[in-house]
Amino acid sequence: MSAYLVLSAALFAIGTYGVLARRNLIIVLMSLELMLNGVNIALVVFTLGHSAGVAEGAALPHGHVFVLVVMAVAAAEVAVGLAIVISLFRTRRTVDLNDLQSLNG
Amino acid sequence: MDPLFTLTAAISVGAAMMTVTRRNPVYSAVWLLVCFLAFAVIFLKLSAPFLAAIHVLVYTGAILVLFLFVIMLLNLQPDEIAEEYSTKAKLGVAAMCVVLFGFLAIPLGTDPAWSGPLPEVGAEFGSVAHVGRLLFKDYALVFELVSVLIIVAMFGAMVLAKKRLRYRIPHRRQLDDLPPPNILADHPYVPNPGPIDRRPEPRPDDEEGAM
Repeated sequence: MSAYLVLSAALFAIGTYGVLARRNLIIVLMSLELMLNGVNIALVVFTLGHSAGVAEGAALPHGHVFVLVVMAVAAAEVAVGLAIVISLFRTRRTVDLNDLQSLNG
Repeated sequence: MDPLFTLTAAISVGAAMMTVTRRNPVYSAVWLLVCFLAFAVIFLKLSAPFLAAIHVLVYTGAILVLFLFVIMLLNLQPDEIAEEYSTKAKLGVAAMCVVLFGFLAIPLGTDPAWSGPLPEVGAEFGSVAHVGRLLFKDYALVFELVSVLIIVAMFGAMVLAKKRLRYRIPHRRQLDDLPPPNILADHPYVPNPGPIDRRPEPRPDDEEGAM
């Protein structure tokens, strides 16, 4: 089981790299999806681990509900994020994060 | 170790690395597709067949198509793709992420509570009936709240991506040219100036009206 947890940690770390080291807004959003997926895998592993030793048929996958909620939030976040990207590109003609500093004060 | 898991894990980690390093967002999206399909196999290995199906539907079917659609809509020219940070800065971030990976993976990977092989659960575990019963009985309120969230996000996306709002907050450059706003007016915003002029701005040394 620990191999799956290490995999989820690896995906989270790769996603963090993408969020921090890239300046293209679309790729930053994709990296955010990678991070959420790493967390999802960890949640599914924990669900399975806590079901061990419970009588056959009595174990309920409560963690899977959490994963479904995370997926729904990810979908909503991507929809709003990409809409913001579109309206930013329409007004500013750029997707470069370093060009978007008007809230910088 | 299980060969199927090793193969899928290698594919997903490799595809994830390709996703975050490609310069062109289209290549990133296609590598992300590979990564998501590998995740679906991992969900199947973890006895979550319903989640695997939903993962393929939601991520590859909806989210990735949305990404590709937006990339197509923006139609970025090679000089409009964002410039990247220097290699030195990227190496610094990569080192930080390796440390983050260590902080996460060492405690999780060495914890004796999670060291065993995957436990045996019944074939029913994680099936549609199983998850559905939980979702509509124990977590019915959560389910309804998620549906409200998705509706709000849908309206938000529609309003944000709409081409012409009736009133638009003026850009700073436009603000400087405008008279001070009439604070007693119904709408302090200026009307929409119309579609954006996509021609390059004339250079200062150009003659007025000359192309």
